[in-house]
Order: sequence, then C-alpha cells, then structure tokens
Amino acid sequence: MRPILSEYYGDSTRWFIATVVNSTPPAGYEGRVKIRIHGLHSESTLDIPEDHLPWAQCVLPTTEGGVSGIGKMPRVLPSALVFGMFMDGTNSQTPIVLGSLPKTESPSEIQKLTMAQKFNNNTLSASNLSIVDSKGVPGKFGLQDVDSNRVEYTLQYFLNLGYTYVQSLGIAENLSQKGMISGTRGESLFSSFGIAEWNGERLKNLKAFSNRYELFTTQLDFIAFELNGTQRSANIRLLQTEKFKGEKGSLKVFAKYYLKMDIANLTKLESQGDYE
Amino acid sequence: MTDNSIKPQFVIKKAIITADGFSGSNGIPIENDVTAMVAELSIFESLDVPYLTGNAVIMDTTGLFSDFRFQGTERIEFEIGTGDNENTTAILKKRFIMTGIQKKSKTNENANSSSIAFNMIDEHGFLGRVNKISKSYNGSLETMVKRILQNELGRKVDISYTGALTEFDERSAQQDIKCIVPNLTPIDAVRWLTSRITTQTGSPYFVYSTLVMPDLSGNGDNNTNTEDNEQGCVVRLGNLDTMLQQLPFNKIPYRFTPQTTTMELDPTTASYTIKAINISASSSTLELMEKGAVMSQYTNTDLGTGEVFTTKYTLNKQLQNLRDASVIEKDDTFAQDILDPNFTLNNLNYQEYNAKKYHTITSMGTYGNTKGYHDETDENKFNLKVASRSLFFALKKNPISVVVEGMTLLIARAKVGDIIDLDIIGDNVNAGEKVGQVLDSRYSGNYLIYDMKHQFTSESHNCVLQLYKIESEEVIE
Repeated sequence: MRPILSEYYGDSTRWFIATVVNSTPPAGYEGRVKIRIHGLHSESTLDIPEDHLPWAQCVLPTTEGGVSGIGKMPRVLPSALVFGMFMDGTNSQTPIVLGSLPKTESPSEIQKLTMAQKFNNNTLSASNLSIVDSKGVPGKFGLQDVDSNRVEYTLQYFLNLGYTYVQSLGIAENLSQKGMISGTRGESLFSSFGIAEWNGERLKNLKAFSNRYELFTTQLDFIAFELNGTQRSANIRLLQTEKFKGEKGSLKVFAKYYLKMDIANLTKLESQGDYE
Repeated sequence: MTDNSIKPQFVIKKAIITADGFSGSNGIPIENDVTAMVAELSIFESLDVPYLTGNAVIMDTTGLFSDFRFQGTERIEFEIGTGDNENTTAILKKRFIMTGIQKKSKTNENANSSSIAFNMIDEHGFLGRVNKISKSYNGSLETMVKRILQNELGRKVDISYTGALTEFDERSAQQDIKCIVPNLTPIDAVRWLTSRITTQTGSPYFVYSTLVMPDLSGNGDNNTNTEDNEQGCVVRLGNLDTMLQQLPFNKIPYRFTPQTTTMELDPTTASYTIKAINISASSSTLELMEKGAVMSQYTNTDLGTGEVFTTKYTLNKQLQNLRDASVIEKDDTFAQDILDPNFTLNNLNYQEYNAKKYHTITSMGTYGNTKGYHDETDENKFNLKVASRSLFFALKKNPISVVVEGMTLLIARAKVGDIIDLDIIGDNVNAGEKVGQVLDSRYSGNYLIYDMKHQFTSESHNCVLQLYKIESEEVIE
C-alpha cells in the first residue's frame, strides 16, 4: 500500500460506518464531525484518544449553498451512527460523511443497572428477561409462552419501540392492572376485551387489525398501532413524560389518555401497583 | 607439515530445533540437534522486506520429524563459522521460526530417509504478520516507524543508512503528522508509513533487515544490541540517497572471468570473482513511462479549501536534483543511465507528454492543526510522492544478477543497501590484444545491492545478488 493508490482517486474508495463522538467542531472546522470508525479505529481511547480522531467533512444536500458561510450545518449529534466514504481508499485517512443512520438505542448495561435500582428491580427487571418458548427455544412466542412473564415482555416490547424506560413502565404497569397477568382474554360482561379492555369502535378496530387478535402479542402490536394512529394525542403526551408517578407521570398519562380511565380509578392506580 | 587439503568455506557449527510444546519434565523445551542433518541453508535479505526469510533442507534419517509432530511453529537456531579450522568461533548466529514444509522427498531406494525443505522466517516477521494495529500516532514518519518496530515487534532500528548523525537525527522531507494506522499488521504498517517518507530530493526510504555480521577485521565494533544478536538480524531504516552516496565495500572490483576457473586464480582474485551473471529484462523506457515514472502530472484537490493544485513531474528534473545534491554523478566521468533526455516523439520532447495524470484528494483540517498522512503545507512537496515512486521504478530499470563467493561478503560485512563494484568485460571480439581487458562501460561500475540470497550448500557459500544502478561511466572517445 502506497500513498498514491491509483491514478484517479475515484478508483479506490472504501466505505465505512462510524459513530459521531463530537459534533461541535472548533472555529475553522465548521461542517465537520469527529468520528470513530467501526472496524478501523480501536474502541480504546488508549489506542486512539478522541483528540486524534478525524474531523470528517459532511456531505449536505444540493439544496444548500455549498460555499463558505452559506447554507445549513450538519445537525448530527454525538452517538449518531453515520455512513461515509474514504476519499483515499485503503489508506483510510480522509473520511467524509454521507448521511446518518436512524437507530433504536437500548440502554447500556450500566444504564439498565441504574434504572433497575431506581425503580423496583424485583418486579420489573426487563434486562433480565428470558424470552424462551415452552420448549426452551429462544425467540418463538406463542400465547402460552408469554403468559408467565407478560409484564416483562410488554416492558421490553415498548423499550424496543424506542419508548423510554419510564414510559414503557407506565404502559406495562397499567396493562398489568387491567388483568393482563391473570390472562383474561375472553369478552367480559361489559363487552370489553383484551389486555387494554377495548370495547366499542376500538374493539371493532382490534378485530379488523388481525385475525389473530386474541393473541397477547397481537394486542401489543395493536396498542402500538393505535398510539401511532387514532390515539396519537395519547402517544404525544406519553412521549413527554419523564417520570413514572404523579399527575404528569407515565402511569397516569397512559391510563387517562390511552385507557380512558376515570378520575376515581386514577387516584387508586398508584396505590394498587407493586412498584413502590 | 602444511595441510594441503581443500578447506570448506563454512562450517555449520550448530543447528538446534526446539518447540514450545515439546518440553521436558522441567518445562524447558527439548533441544533437537540436527547439525549433522542440514544439507542446505539459504537466507534472504531484501530492501523490500523488514525481516529475513530462509529455506533449509534437512536430511531426516532417524524419523525425527515424524516423532516431533512438526506444526510450523518450531524454532531453529544456526551457528555458522568459517572453515579455517574446527575450533573457529561462530561468525554468524541466526534464529528462525520454521513456518512450514516446502517439500518432502524420499532420498533412497529403501524409502527410509527423506529430505525435507523448510520455509523459515524471523521471529519479528512472524509476529508482525499475525497481529493488527489500530492506533493513532503523532510525530515524524520516521519516529512512527521506529515506535511500531520497537513497541509492537520489540526491535530497535538502525538508522545509520538515513544519513542520521545522531540517534534523534531525522532527514526526511515530511514534517510531523498525525495519522491512524487503519487496522494493518505491524509489518504492513511500517511499509505503509515508510512508503510516505522521502528525502528532500524525493528519494524513497526502505525498511529492511540484514544479518548480524561481527567485525572480523578486529576493529571491535560488534553489534551490541541484544535483540539483534539474539535474533541474528538488524532492522534498518535507510534512504536511497544515503545508499547511493556510499563507496563500494570492495576495493577490488568483482570480475566476471568465465574463461578461467577459480582454481587457477590467486586467492585474493578468486575471492572477487563473479561466478555467474544474468541480465534479465531491462532498459525498457516505454515500460517506465507507462508506470508514470518518467513524466506525469500530479493534481490534488483539498476538500477543506476546495483548492486544486497541479504540478508536473519529470524524472529528468529529479535526476538533476540528485546530481545537484551529489547523490549521483559525483564524478564527471559518470552520467545517469536511465533515459535519453533528448528523446522526441511526434516532434515533441517526451517531457511534454503526461503518461499518467494522478489526481488525489486531501482534506486539510481532518486531523486538526496537524497534517494528516497525505497533507502537505508546502504544495511543492506533493511532487515528492510521485518522485519517490518514480525513482523506485527507475532504479529497477537496469537490473543485473550475479553470483559471488559468500564468505568474502560476510567478512566484508556487505549487505543489502551497500554498493558493490563490478568489472564486466565488454563485448568486442575484435579487441585484439586487449581482449579481456576492455570493460563494458554500461554494465561495469557501482551497483546497489537490492536483494541478497546466502546459499550454504555442500561446504560452499555463495551469494546471489540482485543489483541495480542509476549511473554508468561515460565513454570517453
């Protein structure tokens, strides 16, 4: 490998995925982000201190000015995953960033531990969730398989969708008090049905949602479907919650705006849970 | 009474094989003495390779290698002495890792003995190919090369062939840079960094390895580096300018005299006889031009500023620079022998053309205020990238391969990177009385030793040398 790999630079390109470690460049380096490239840059700061990582230029859309001082700046944030190309091929010293990759972040092991200590790690330990079917095969869920750990499953399900731990906990705890754990799946005396006790138009929508609407996992999918559709206002309020308890906590917000519970039930709600 | 028997040129005093997994009850590896079984030994040095490699042929008549469960990770240690008497001190000690069996053949009708040819490599060469570096470095390229060899491979570097006068003296044209080795093996990393280093005249640097050869002249300047002595090789960093500026190691030129045998010559002349000579494909200026080594255009776009810089490179100009720096043509009787500066094509001098149009991309600022691997603050230095590559090709335009007596080279401590002086008889059957005296001015003269293969075979020690040169003696009419 030599400094000049080919006669024309475009004949020797190499692409990469990188994590942004700094997106606020010093004066004179505007439009650049500091990146740590997966597979080429050691994760250890002993091997490559952050100070030694490259400030990669970012490609912007052609709707921007493209000249000094005109147009927008890249808006990627630290920890963003970006895709790019090396302008010098395998020499791999001149990276440019072409775009960012949206991703669903899950808590790190340290974050999980912190949250488990903050809330009640005896009742809702999603990080320790063991997802196996009745034969011990991981990843295959049937109705019977999830019965035993539905709260944990629900929590993990909404964490995977991008809800925070507090928000996911609010959903899971509400559903558990609706009889999810006891496994009531048939239609009740009041014609309500399912883990969220849907009735009327919403029950009709559930049945139209899937032929397998009786399944617990299908009903979770339906909740997510509703939160992004007919119950979007509940979703917006839920996404704004930053704590679990209280008037603006995820527990009451989900109960009030998604489950449409009345004020009296809301007052009793916090005292019924075993999350304290 | 004098001993008139023919003495061997060398003696293998010791050849011991050990394996980490073949230990005694005390945990110390068992030594398998194969001294009497070594039939051939070859050791290779090259300016392109930062470690030594070799081959050994061992005659196995005792089933040693079947019992041994050879895995290709065994170590073999040689001690070689001159053939003057049986008690000679070892002049060469070398340790290799045996990397595999090249060939095994039965050697007798009963099929109960075999000759086994092994490939061998220096320990740091082995280590340097089975590990990856993903680290950042800051400083001069020379320092980076030294740090990788020291920290990753445990080898100190001899920099005497860079022209350095002190341990910290650096002569490269490139300033300090910051770069990240992109997940390369240590060997690839030092080659990659070295390929970026040039002298002020644009001459390339080499990182290479040579045998440790004690000074037999009695001056007492033996290599005191423990690692070198243990492994039997010196890792060196050198540049072409320094190498070409040296005087030849041999005061008596090597001479190709096929009409006489070495037995008829006096011992001194016999020691400086070329036993065989081979001139392979050479002199192709077209090939050199196609590689962009003669005339090319270099353009760089700096993404940080959007500036485009273009420069023209010609080998003729670079040879002029070497001449000005007294690297070549130090004596008026010598002239460059690479190209004809007056060559015209379609009524244009060849320099008007561009056989290659290089275009590269840099982005000043990628590594903050420090230059990156490709960057140059002085744009004229971009040309050095092309110059280094071109001179590398130009050097190899006129190759010659010779076989000479190895012990003379060992005693003279000659190695790759040194200069050797050859006398080649000219082709002229009408030279009359001067036949055998008129030298070929084209092929005689000083050459750079680029590759060297030591061959220890049946008590003889020959060296096959791959030689290159840039200048020749001018014919004076």
